[in-house]
Amino acid sequence: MFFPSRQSFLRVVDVTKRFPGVLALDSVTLELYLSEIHSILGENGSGKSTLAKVIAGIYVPDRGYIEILGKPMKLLSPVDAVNYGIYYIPQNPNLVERLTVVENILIALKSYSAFARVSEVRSLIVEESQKIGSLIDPEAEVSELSYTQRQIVELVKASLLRARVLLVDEVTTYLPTSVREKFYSYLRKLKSENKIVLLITHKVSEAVDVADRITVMRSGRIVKTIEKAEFDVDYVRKLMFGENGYISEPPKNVLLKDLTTENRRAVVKLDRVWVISESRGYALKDIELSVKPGEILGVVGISGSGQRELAEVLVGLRSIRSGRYYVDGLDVTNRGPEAIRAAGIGFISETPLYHNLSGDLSLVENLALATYGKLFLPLKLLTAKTRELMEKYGIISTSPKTPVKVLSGGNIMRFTIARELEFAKKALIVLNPSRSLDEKFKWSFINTIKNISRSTDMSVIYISESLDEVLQVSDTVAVINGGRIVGVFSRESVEREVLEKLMVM
Amino acid sequence: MIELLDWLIPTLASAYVVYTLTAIGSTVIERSGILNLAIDGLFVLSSSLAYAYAIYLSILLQPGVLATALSLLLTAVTTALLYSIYTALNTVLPVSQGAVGLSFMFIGYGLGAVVGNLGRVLFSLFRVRIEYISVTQNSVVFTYLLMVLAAVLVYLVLYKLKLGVLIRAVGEDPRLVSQIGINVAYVRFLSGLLGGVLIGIGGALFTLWRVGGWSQGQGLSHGWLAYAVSIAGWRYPPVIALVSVFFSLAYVLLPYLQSVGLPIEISIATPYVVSIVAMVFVSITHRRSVALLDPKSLGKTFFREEQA
Amino acid sequence: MVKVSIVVTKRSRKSIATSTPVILLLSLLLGLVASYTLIWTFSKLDPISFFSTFYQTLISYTGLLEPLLFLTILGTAISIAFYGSFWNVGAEGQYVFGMLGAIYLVMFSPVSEVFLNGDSAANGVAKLLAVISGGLLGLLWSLIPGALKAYTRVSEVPVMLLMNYIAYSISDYLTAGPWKGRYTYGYIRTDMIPESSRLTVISGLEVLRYEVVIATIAVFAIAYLLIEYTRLGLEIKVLGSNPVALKSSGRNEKKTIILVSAISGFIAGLAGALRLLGYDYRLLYNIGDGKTGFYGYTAILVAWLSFKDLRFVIPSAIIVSALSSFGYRMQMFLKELLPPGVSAFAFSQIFIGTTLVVYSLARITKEYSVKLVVRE
Repeated sequence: MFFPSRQSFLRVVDVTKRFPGVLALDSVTLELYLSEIHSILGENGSGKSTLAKVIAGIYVPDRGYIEILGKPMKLLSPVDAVNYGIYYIPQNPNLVERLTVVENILIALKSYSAFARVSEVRSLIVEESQKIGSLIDPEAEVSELSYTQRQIVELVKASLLRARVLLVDEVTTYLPTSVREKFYSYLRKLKSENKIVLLITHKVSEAVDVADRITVMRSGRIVKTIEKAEFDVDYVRKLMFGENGYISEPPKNVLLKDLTTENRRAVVKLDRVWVISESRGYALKDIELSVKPGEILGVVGISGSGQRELAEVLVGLRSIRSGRYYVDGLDVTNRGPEAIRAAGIGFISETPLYHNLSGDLSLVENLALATYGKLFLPLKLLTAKTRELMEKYGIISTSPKTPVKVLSGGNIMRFTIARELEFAKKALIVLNPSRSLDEKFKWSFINTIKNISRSTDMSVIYISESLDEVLQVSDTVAVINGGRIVGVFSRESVEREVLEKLMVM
Repeated sequence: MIELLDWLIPTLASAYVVYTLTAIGSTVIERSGILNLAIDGLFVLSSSLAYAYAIYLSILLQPGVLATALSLLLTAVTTALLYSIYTALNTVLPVSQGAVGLSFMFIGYGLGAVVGNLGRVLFSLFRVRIEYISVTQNSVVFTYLLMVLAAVLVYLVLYKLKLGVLIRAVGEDPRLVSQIGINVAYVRFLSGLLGGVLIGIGGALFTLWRVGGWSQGQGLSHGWLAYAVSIAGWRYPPVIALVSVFFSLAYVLLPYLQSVGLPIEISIATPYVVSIVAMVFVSITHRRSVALLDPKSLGKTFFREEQA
Repeated sequence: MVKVSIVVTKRSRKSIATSTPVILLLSLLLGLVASYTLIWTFSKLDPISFFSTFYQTLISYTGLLEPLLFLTILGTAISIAFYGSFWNVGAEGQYVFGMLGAIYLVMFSPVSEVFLNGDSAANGVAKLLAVISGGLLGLLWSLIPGALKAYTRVSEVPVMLLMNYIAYSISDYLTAGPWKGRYTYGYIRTDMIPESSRLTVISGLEVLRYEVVIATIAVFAIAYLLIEYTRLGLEIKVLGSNPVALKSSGRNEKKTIILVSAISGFIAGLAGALRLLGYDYRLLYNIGDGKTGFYGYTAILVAWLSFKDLRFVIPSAIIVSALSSFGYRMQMFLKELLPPGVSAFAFSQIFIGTTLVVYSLARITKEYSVKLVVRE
């Protein structure tokens, strides 16, 4: 029998997927061949993760379908996908925190019946993790593992599943270089075993170095699929950011503030703060932080290093086990968000529908929640104010009375920013705002923050996973790793490499 | 004193068996992330079903151990089916678990009354005698051992077998688990079957052993009492088997406080007070072990697809 | 092999087919069909008798008015609690406590003198006090699970369902003990409250009382104002939809839980007081045997059917009044077709349960689209 050199295994046929307010995938068609590493390249929000999730059966497309070996899968569920050997590894590992490593792996293994004993797979895991080159304790609870260890557990799982198509979604972003190399060689080994790797990334260099073909995505559409021969960093960048060549180069128009000469009291100060984690141990350890009036403090770290917990402590949502928290010299330790909010501290979260807003309620009501009205709500005033903010921040919504949850992620974020900037007087806590913002708005937001902080002396604590952003916005940079602050630097005096090293240490 | 013990020991055993099994059954269901608000209704229904089955089988076969055992079995199967429908329904569709739970509670109450009265009609027509369960002082120890065995078995299923790991995993994070290719509804269906069997046996033994008969409103509120035991035992079978001894003792003895001067109406209410106090106590105690924590997704609406 | 699977996706636009009125009517209809099927399994009940009796119940509107008013008040009480995700399944107990509060004031407190020799103005004030005292006792009873939820995070649902039994017991204790009547022909019950303390019968519509009608309108209007136009109402809504957002915007979550439990309990208590002063006139022993009409439980359905939208409390109360009266009407007119010995309330429970389950299923279509897909 004759095999063509390229054997198609899986086809994405004309897939469209719509989320409230966003067209995430717009008639996407893609073909995957056996024995290739295929990279999907695109900016945040270009639809690449959505595409991977459709292939993995996690999202049901509104139109279109997946075809496997020429057979259309009208409705692919994750169960079917796994049966066809399709396995998806997300950026944040799919592991149940309160279960152990062995338990997490066992539930994924189809070859074991419901009556298999947990102990049966223990040795298997040790063996496989040795092959990958990093030993994992099978009895460890996932919540105790570091980010890198969790990704290794995911890989062990994928190899034990004998996946034919491995979808890796931004997995390498936070892996330390040594592990990343091991990971790439593992992917190449899969390729040599006639398997397919779909490498989803926003890093042009990674795609060019590792992939055999690259498919570039922008705003939910496929721009082009290119062959290895055509790989060229500049060309690929152009495809990624558009014909007009918009490069996400941040503007640099606001000067850094010189804080050394100022000798003013800290607005926000954490003094040796320890915070308990949900699963076990401490989420934050011995945190020392302080921000002066008008200072922007960037706190950077890889995902899951304690950023979320830090933000929640600063807002008063989490209780402090030991240590003190001062706002303007006033001890607010464990006095709850009431005291902190009353001091004029705003909060912009990466997940506004979790932290800031009620999705079921309207823009007007959500504005009212943070601002006007003691006994009765001044609805007329609030509606006018909402319209004004919609105009000013370019928030697209049918009406000020629309429930927040039907807005797109980007618009929800803009509204949160608008409301909190309206509210905050003394300090602003910002947690990973760029997740749901497009490039352009992100930089204009960063500039807004800088300007406000310069003109009104407002302090900002900018907590982020993105070193680029933190370097852009901050006067002072702190690195958080494993719930500890492992270094605090003045922006000018620190090298990027030093920070990177501390982040993954 | 001897007389009191003669009465107390077997009575306590019957109460212990009923509340322990029902509490462990409820635990299996709630560990899979399904809020068991249906418990009181389905407990009432199963205790009525056991009566109707027992009468019917005693007529069909003849009164005796076989008829009683079969009715126990049938009740367990029926309750298991109802519970598996309950858990699967709560998972397949993104419904409010609270509303569906209360619905099943009401339907259980209503159907319980219908079924129990049907049994009564049959009884008035045929005047057949049911062979109720009773234990002698000597076999009481055996009953306790049996319960310890049941608790250990459920513990092993939940913590040492893949099935149990699956049940706990879907109780923690069903969306994540569904993304790795596991049918969450099927796992919860199984947890409904397993939990339902235990609750069914609990409800049946309430009629066939603890009470030894059926009357209007049979079993009402006893499902909640068992639910309190399950919560007070941190939804962990070995602890439940232990604390259930104290609860059963309280539930059996407290209504007799009238003999020391408490008004009868108030003594009847004391088990409810004890249950509430226990639930409060448990929720303010700090739990060191992860296994004792509440399932993270308990009662949360499950929807597989969520915008990233 | 043919596989049927259910596919659920988020809906991106609204449609009339999934609007609340359509869903309400659909739930009523399908709920009735499901109830019929369940009852039919155990009886000789034919569909024509079943549905025509329901129709009869609907058109005998005077029979519906009385439950309608009480279910509107209680439904409003529970709805407010639902806005704040305080699952008030304890309205039954709060309702009983409302009765206790009213009868205490009328018969056993210093105010009782007023009813024996006061003028009509004084009587009016005393009656108002009796109603408020009922509300306050309801509030007190509801505050217990509210405070427990706020401070110890104990789920209010099992606590309140257990507390309902305790409320029955307390009422029975008072009825048989300190409040036991002297002129009761040997029955265990309290004496009747004096004529002057009773609510005013509306002539021509003898099932109604002026004060109950006024109170229903007032409660509903105030509740609507509270939810739509006040900061407290807003905070209750945020508590119910996203308590984290409530906290992070600097509000006190615990305080809001306690307030919402108090308001809800107060209104449920009012209903109990109105019942006692307008209809029951005394407390009966074994009050848990249906002497409350189980309004506190039935009203849970009203609150669910009008979930987080007060405008639908009255339409829902009409549906639920019909369903609960239907049980009694069936018992009265179809007795020989039904399984013997089953109480009317047992049938009502089946109607409530099936309607609620159908409604919970139908309601998801507001936000999700559900498709059945057959594959080979």
